[in-house]
Amino acid sequence: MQFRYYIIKRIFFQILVVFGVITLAFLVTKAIPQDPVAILLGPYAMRNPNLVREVTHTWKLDRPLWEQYLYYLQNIVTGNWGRSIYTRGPVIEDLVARFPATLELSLFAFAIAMAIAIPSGILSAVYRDTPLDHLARVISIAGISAPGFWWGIMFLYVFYYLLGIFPGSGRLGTNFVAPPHVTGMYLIDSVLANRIDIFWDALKHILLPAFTLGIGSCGMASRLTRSAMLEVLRKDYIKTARMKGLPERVVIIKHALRNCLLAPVTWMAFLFGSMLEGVVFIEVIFRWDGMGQYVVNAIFESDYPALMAAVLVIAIIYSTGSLVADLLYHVLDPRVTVY
Amino acid sequence: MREWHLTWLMIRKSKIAMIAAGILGSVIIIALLAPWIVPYDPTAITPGREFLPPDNSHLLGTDNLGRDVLSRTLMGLRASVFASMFVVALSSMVGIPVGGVSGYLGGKIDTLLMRITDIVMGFPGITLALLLAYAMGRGIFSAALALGVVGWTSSARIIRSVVLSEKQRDYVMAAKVLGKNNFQILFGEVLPNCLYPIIVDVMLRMGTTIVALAGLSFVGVGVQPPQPDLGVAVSEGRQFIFEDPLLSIIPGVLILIIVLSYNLLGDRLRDALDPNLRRELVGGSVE
Repeated sequence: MQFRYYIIKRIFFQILVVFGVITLAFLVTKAIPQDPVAILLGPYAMRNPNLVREVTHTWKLDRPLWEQYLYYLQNIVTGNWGRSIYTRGPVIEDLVARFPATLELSLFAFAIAMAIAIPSGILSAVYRDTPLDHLARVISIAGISAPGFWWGIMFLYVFYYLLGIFPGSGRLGTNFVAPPHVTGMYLIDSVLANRIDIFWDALKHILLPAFTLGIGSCGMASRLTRSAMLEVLRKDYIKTARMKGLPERVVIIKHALRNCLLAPVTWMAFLFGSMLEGVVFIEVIFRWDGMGQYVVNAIFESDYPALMAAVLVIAIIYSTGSLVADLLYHVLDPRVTVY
Repeated sequence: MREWHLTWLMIRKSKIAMIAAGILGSVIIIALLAPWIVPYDPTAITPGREFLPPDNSHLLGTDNLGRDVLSRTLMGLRASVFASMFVVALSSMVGIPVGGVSGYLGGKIDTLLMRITDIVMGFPGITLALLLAYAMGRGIFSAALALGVVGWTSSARIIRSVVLSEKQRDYVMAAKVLGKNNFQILFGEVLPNCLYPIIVDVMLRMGTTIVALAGLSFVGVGVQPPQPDLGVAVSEGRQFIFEDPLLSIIPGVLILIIVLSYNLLGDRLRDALDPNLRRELVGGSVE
């Protein structure tokens, strides 16, 4: 009973957060000094007072602030997210087209990061203070310390230019066409359409950006796993298992592993969130056609409808992600409430 | 006094912390002296001398416009270091009072403040900072302001938890008996005792702030070219990555070193302030 109560509270709180985010986005666009009407119409059309009046009236810009806010909320709920000034198309379409790209990249990056971090953390703990441990530690810390976008550039230079292993940009090579749209994620769609060649190409394209995106989280997760494992290895039940005469491998895999995984999992929400912060830069560097690049583009084109919508979506993904993670954490350890 | 001495001893025990502190110290001094020690004007374009490799007259070579890389790097360092100090100071000035008041007063105010904090935290920081920095006009000041507005949440959380535990201590009770009002107690007694966690938090946040600031500049929302800045340098170098990778490598490595030093020092400092470890040290010296 209490568990359900917690979930409801948490979801309700999340709705509050999303609401706050929506309001924040609204206020920010109100704070921008440029005139949105001028940006839409351009200098020539601005000279036509009728046009100006029409646009201002349609966008309700001549109404008091609170009315604009309500109009804004109404639009969001009904799905009228405006038309992009840059692409001249409905923002919703642009976002729907790009959302899977960002999602695919983030999920893949996170999966790779965890797949590397957790084993490396465990190995670091088991072989503590050996050269392996030190090497892992150096790599982790370097991963955390340098900015993601720099790593991206370095990787591009080494793996694309010098070694020619990975392609430099985009989601697919120029001689490939996207697989039929099911989820929008090329890795999945290509398998579903039984086009393994597209799958390989998409895989080659996603590896470098995903790895770059995941580095920071990978480093942190590795350290966390290591300390968690060290903690667990000190425990009495491990000593018991050893005294029973079990081979070391069994001790670690059967007894220690399960218990040490709790710590990194609890941090996954935070790790995913902090990783998402870098997605904008990664998308720009690798020319990944996702929402991050859309946001940056919108900023420089002063494309306010697109900007607001994209930021909103990113914020919603972000907070929903942490919601899911919090709930997951609560499932694993009901004693804890995250806030 | 003894506290500081203990802390100093603990830092000295760790070679890494000493090295990190040394690096940071030198970086700050260089940043301070930068305008006076640059060999060339960082924005001076010298056509015909582009992409020079490092040699005697240009210690780090020249970039795509013939500007001296060393000068640009030094001034960029200065910009990054001071801007991030500003950001951390700003976010601390907001975060510490919020966290302190929240933890100390508790109750409804605590809940309200923490809700607000969670809402702000629910927003992806960099995205929001991008938005704000652009809204306020591109430039290093807006970028710094944006990052400050976004980044106060973590220090608020930390201060709040520390204040919560300090609240129970005897000296708080003593101050109350003496008749001090809440404000005096909070700012005069409790917060000074929170100094250590604050310092550790500041150290660690300096690292992430530098990276964030460089990121904003990289995207074009922070320092504007031709003004030098580490992020801008990476961005500019990116166009010529294949011809002259050094242009991007150097500022990146610098950021790496600085952030690394902050992280390591903050990490060691946090260990140094761990009461258990301190007790060991005290025990050792008493023997």
